[in-house]
Amino acid sequence: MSAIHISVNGTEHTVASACTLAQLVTRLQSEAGQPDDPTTLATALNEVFVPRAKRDTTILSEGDQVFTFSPITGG
Amino acid sequence: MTMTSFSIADTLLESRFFLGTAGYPSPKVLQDAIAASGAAVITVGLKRQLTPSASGGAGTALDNSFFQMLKDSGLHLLPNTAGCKTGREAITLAQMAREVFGTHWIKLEVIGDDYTLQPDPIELIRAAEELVREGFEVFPYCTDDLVTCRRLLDVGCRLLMPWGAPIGSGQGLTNPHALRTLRARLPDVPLIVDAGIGSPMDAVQAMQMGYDAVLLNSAVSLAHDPVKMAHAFKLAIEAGRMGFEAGIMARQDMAVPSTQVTGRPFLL
Repeated sequence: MSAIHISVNGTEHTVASACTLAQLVTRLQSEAGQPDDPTTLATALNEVFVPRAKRDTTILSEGDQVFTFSPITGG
Repeated sequence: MTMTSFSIADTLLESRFFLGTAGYPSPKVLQDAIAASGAAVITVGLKRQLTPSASGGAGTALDNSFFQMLKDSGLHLLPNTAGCKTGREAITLAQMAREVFGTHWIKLEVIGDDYTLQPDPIELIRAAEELVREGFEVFPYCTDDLVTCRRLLDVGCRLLMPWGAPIGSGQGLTNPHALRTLRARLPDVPLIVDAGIGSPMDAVQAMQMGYDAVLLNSAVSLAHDPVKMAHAFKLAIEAGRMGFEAGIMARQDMAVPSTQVTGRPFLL
């Protein structure tokens, strides 16, 4: 299986080709030892918001920039 | 006598205090401060990071249990677009906030200057227009410029959040004249003073001007006792509003005796 290179929050990652955004989120949460809960973050691909319902059908490509955003305290 | 509730964005609120959640010494202090404030609306944010695993001091992640507590609290969450410098960024962040926090309310911040954190009015208006089109209730963080405020209303904002002073500066209301002008020229628009409030006195001043609500963060979170300060602001906001509703007497240049006297009490 071939691999592609993407960046996640500015850090380089290698994932399998045809990896979906949903699969990436699951993997990232698992690697961080966090519960598999897709509702705790929002995602953007190449600076465009990708709704949770579309992560399953969003297939990552070479050079994609993925950003994940999580809740913080704020003023 | 209870303070009159008020309606904003089709929502009836029992408190005119909007409280920020950043920069508290601990989640427990934040939780207690929220309770002491009686606030009905609290602000939150989003940060570029993976799901948080811990929460703590300033600008920190909300852990899942605390985040859930906020969502279950019955308080209205008002997510912000802090840190955005373009309308495009702010729109994307707002879309994310709507999904994560489950609200169409957005405190729209588009910053045009790093030192004063002054809003960029052009980008702000553009982003507000797009977000209103997408169904958001936009709470625009803006300056006290009347014409910019009018343009925000033109593109569909139903309320405005002019600054009192730069964010986090605690300077109070640096331009009371401009704020009074806004209130006078936009009598039917809900106006919330957002940013710059330093002490309860500043909140009283804003409320006595007829502002509908006050949004603040640092004045509480940076106090020696944030919980007590949250309560102090609750009282100040209520007192200021009640004073406004009661009608403040007109100032006089010269003394006007309170006690009726006829002539001089004694003729010596």
